[in-house]
Amino acid sequence: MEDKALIERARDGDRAAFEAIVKRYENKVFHLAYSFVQDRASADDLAQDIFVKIYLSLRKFHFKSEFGTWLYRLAVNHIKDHLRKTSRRKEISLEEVKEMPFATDDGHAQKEREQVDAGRRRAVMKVLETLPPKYRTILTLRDVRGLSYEAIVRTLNLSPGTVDSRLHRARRMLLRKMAPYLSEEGGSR
Amino acid sequence: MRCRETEKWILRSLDGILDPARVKALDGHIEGCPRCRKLREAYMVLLGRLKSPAEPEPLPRFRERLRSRIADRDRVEPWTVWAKWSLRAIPVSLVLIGCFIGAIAFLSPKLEEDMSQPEALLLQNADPLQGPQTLFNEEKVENRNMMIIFAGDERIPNRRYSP
Repeated sequence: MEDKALIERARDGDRAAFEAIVKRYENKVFHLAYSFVQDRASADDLAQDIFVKIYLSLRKFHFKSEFGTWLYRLAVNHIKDHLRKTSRRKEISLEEVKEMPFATDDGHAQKEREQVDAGRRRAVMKVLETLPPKYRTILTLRDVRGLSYEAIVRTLNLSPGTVDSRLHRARRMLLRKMAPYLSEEGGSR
Repeated sequence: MRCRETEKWILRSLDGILDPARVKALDGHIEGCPRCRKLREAYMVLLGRLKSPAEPEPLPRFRERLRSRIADRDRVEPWTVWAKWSLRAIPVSLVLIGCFIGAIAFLSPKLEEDMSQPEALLLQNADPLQGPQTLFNEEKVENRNMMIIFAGDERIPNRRYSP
């Protein structure tokens, strides 16, 4: 069934129609939340909150944009609020990042390599968490989730120029923060 | 090309949105500039790290938990149902009130004072030409004139001159 028909039925109180919407979008919303918080339980909580919000806001959706875009925007705004509330502007020490298997790749065992890669990724994500929410949001949407520039413009309701400059600033900020760790890594990918 | 401009171009080229002429210029610059080459490598490593690997699934029974949360919410806030129906009831009741007022205005009988004297006489099954006939029968000119003057306002029968 089309999104529009499901939404109209869900608005009239049809729970089965709303569940069909949830089934269609639950992975997208969960993965979006996971990209930001990097924790399965927290992402699950966030996704649940987002769907409750969608359920309560369905009547405000007037088909002026695509439902997917509207839902993504609502989800991103909810996550941004969550980040703002929980933002502690963490400063990560070099020691903290070193504790993660970041530069111990001996290049032999496959499993060990995967662990090293995962550790390096965790380190970058941890530094990403220290960025101000607006930079963290745009970096997550573009470089973690892989959204196109056009999709980011629609989701964040920003002009293309703002998206471009904010993304550039966010990447530069992240690189400056990561520079000491990247040099330890020795430039390997 | 200056090193200062390079960073933006590097990022655009990694996004695949830098036009081919600039890509060529950037490659040419990077070839001869170790600093910018290092910068591009650093960005490639960084953006590669950010790319989402295989992602986990939501925790089990996601939809069941959501269903019970929504059910709890609906139980706590029954007014939402009332609000929904009351909002729809407003235009319907306005239309009904309009129809009712219109029906009253249309169906109510006209008041008797709105009728002209001939209409009233016809309604009473009387001859409306009876008045003019008496006027023609009057022989005195003064009386006839007075009768004509007072016959002007037919709605005030009491003021009619009757000699």
